Amino acid sequence: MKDTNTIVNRSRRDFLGLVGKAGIGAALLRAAPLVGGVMATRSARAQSRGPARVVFVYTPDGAPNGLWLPSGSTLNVATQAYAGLEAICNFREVEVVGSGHGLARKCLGELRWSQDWTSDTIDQQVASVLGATTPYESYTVGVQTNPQEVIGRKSGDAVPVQNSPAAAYEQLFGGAPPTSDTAGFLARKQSVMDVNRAALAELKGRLGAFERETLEKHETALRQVEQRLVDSVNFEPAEGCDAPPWNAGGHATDGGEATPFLHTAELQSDVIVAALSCGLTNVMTLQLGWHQATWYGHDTNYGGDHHGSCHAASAADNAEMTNYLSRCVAYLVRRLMEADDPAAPGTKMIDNTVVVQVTDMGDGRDHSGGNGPNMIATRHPGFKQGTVSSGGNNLEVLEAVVEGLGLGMYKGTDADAHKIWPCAGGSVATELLA
Amino acid sequence: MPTPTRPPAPRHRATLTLPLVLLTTTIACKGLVGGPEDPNDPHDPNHPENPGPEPETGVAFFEARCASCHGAFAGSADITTGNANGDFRLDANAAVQRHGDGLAGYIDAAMPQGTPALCQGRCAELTAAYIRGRVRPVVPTNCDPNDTTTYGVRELKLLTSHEYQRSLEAILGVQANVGAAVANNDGALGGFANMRGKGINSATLESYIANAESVASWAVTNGRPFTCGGHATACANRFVDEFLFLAFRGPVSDDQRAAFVALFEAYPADGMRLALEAALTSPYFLYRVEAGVDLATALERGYYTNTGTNPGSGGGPMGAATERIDAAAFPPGSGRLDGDVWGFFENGAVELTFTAPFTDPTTLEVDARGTNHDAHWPELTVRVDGQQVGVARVDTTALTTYRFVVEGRTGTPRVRIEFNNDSGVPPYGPGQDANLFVASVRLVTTAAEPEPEPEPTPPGGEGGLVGVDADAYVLSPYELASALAFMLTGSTPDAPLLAAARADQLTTRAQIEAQVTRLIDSPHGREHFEDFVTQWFDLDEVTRAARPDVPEFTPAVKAAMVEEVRQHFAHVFYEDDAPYSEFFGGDYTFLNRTLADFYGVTGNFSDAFTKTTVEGRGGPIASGAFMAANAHVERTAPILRAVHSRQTALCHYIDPPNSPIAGEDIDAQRAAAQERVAQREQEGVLSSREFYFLYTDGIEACAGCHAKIINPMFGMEDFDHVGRLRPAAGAGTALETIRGEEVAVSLEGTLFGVDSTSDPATVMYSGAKDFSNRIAETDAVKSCLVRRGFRYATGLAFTDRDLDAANRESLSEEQREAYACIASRMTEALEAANDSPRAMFIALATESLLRLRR
Repeated sequence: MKDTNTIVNRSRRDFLGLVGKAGIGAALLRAAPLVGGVMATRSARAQSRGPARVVFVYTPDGAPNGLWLPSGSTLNVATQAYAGLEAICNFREVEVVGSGHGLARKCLGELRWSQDWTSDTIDQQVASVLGATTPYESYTVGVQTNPQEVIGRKSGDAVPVQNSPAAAYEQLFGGAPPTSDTAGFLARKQSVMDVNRAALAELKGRLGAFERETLEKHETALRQVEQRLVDSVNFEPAEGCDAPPWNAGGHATDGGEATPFLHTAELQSDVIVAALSCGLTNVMTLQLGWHQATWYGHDTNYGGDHHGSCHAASAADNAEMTNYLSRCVAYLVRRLMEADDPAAPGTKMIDNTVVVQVTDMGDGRDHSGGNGPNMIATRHPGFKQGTVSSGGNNLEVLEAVVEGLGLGMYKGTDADAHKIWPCAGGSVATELLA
Repeated sequence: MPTPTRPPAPRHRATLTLPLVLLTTTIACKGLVGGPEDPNDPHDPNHPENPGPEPETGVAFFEARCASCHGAFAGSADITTGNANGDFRLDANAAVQRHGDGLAGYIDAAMPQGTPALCQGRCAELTAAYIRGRVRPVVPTNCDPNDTTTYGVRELKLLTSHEYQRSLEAILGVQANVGAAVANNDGALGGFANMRGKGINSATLESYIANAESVASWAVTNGRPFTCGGHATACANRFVDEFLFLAFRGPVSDDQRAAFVALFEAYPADGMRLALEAALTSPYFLYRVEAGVDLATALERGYYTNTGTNPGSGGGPMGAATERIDAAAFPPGSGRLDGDVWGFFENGAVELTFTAPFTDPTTLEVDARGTNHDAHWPELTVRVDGQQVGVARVDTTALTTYRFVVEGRTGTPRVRIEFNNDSGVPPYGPGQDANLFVASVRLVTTAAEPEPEPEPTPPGGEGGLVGVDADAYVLSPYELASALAFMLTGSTPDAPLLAAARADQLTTRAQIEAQVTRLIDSPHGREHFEDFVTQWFDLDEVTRAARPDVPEFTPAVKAAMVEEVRQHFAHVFYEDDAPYSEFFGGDYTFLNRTLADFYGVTGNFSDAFTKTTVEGRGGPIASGAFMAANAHVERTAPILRAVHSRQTALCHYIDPPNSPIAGEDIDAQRAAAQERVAQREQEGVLSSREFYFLYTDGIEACAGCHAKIINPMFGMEDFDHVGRLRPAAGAGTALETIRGEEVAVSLEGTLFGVDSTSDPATVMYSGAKDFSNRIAETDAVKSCLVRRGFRYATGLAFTDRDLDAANRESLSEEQREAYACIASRMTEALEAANDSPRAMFIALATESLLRLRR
């Protein structure tokens, strides 16, 4: 059995070797946001298989049966938003396993209960491989989500969702260190961190084995943040990455419910594309709403909320609202098609990025699991393009994503040797693979 | 967490490595899957539901035929764990209550759902007997009144964003809402904010660091927590003794002291700012540490011996109390307010009176700065009751703290701040030369010497450590102070509470109760318990309700709706003559001008909320907040109103409508329902009640909940979709307006099941307020207060019914019994004080499970 840890570690060593050649300290394990992003990009460029990125997009409440899946090359009512993108989209209706209210995390493959990686959602598991050389292993943004339902899980803990595009942008691209007395600035910050590091060690000693894992996670986080800081004072950000252009529409950026859902989704998609382009991460998750679907469409004929369109409206109304969500996803796909890929000159981001749309129900109108809409949009060579299919379940789609990204070697049930759990028991939706 | 027992894998299916449990569960709950020779015969050996050899006992039958959907009974629990999602939990008490002697017959006819042939005859009899055997008495019968020692759970928890914000406000006077930056990491348990199991990742840590940097910068600019006036080491030690003692909720270790001193000494000009950054990102600030030490160590350290000392606590001294008067609060006198300092431009004085009494000694700390004329600097003179206590030369333009120790004074003497050496040297006249500026004056008292208690060390249940189990952990007095503070105020412990911890005055029940009462009755305590009802009834949901067709439904109105219910709860909480039953059954509510105008209530109102007698509204259910939140853009939401009123007021558990209950004919049934709605709408506009009834009636898979539990409760339509009362249209009806058309809607409703959805009791009502009145004095409402209150205060589930299945909670047998007895004592305290929630929480806060942990 391959030691995937060794494989991941080798990727890191290759990365560090590149860093060394660039004249930066080879002791780095995680680079600072912007400098790390650049180095990760260069590293990816040097890989023979090219860069690989994935964006998981959650849409709530499935789709009305019969109104989502295209027929051949003809889009359906709830997929009209993908007009012009048919050639790179793979639409598939599946049985959504474990579907229903409050179960969004299951559509990202969380089926086990444990405190280790084996119960992580698929985005986190994939990130543990693809995120080995990026400043952020993964990052999750959302639109009008609710704390009652957070889609990602890592080590038994919910992964925080950033619903404010402004806050996400600020965290990823803001906070530049001062340009003068950088050594003094760094010394002060590290001194502060040293005090906290000592406090953590002291608290660990005092508590013994109790909550040791919690405190060790905190120590890891402190180490990562310090590393980012160390390099950010010594490096020039790549062009356009210190303040990537976004929000061409001039929308409000706080992600509040007063802002149209689609506008916030567009802003978050801008953040996603910029973060991926600048090498800050290779895995992002976009949670569009939550299972109670209390959001409204700002320009839809149906005036109720999405949940109302499921239970107290016509199928056509529900399809319109589902298509509204499709517009959110389609915007992301188009942005990836437009953006050049710095890690692979001559290509676009969509050539090396896979957009995976998942959902928590088949048909939200009766909470059933059948005919659940899943979609993969990409020009990544591991996947087919322009297909329409049905069959199997959503977990098999997730396994196909893993295989298509070339991560099959990391998949298995040996907690010591693998990083990605075979959520469908090894069964793969091969119809999606090239 | 117990694992539900799985039926044997169906023989025709390909072997899967994982996840066998979930797939089998899903299929078993949904019905037949293809493969056997005879697909209609569940006893066919190749049938996927065939359980193999016939079980012999009731428990074996249950595990074989029922557990895949219902889960298992863990330990002595009377409710199962549910399926892999935590759904379909089987409540033995409720099942027996509902079916009585007919339980076996019900199983025989209807269970397992979809394939009842799998459990008939002997299977049904034995399974019913097994379920009966799981029934437990609702009221505990074995609580020993002489042994009230109980144990909580050791914890290391991050502060919630709310606790984090409150703590910063308390220790530094922060006004900006910095908690919002970390709110996306908040967790929840049982419907209340709870950080159990939450950790810090690098993204979250970056948010804490960014907050700390901005708060530190602001604090230094504003002289908080104080201004360093001299030697870096002295400043550092003062920072550790005074500020860190508050921020870290107890004394600091010598190593941590040394680390902070090193920070000040390395960066003298920047020490305060960097120290604040370090403090506000320290694990000692960010985590609530409630881990304790083992009993032997606690005894060795002399915890809770009530001897007036706390030898195991370590750390440095601090004043027992600090009162502060800022320049903006100076009374009229000489000089004037100049920005945020009081300027003495000529000789003169101001006289201050503190509310806290002086102790002997007392320290007065004055933050002051000056402007000079050549070498002439102002002098600061302090007098107490006319007697000069000190003169300081203020020879710096930077705010500096000057200390004056006052001895031999008690009570509340007058403190006089004087400027007496204005130079007036020609050609400079008064006002154009040396001036004195004072920013604030602080009174720092010292802890009084405790009086020794003559009683012996009390037992564990009464505050001491006698009879405590050897494997228990004991919180230090400081950890207990922290636990009490967050439990009762949602904020960090204040100086008096920390002083009590330091003096080992959190030992006897009386001592603890004194602090508990003080905290509950404080402004922060009141706000904290108003937050309790806000989270319990999800009141803030109304602030997110968009109703574009009602422009007067403004953010101010929504905020006032939330405050209406908060004020009502505070009233029954704090007023001795207002029993809890008035929260649901009172004939009044609390209105201000904004809300009265919106509701159309006439009277003399101001911006303040006042108790107002009204008809038709009052309480958490019959309120604008509940009714507007449980509505849609153009209609009300009778389904949400029914479900949420059961869940919040009565603590009923209702399974979410998830996929395993969908039937094969659901598409056709749903289409038929839509057709009915369409046909009826051709005849005229449908009321929301009828609209939602038609959509949910006649759909077999949904009938289990909608026919009995939900739809009969559609009698709360006296409130419109923005929380206003609708005009009456005759007895028991109201007028609803849909798209400009009026339609009469019945207000008749029936609550089937009061203690649970299965109990045989019913309540018939007409309208939301009538519903609220009729349940006001039920045991279910009172019990729900106890259950929710316990969860809010301790973060723990009371019974198996309260477990948060989504977060994999469980209770041990010991916890079930102990918490049942605590519930009993809480209920006794509630009832003994005229149904006072305040008395109930006081009783809970004095339980030993706060101090003793496992």
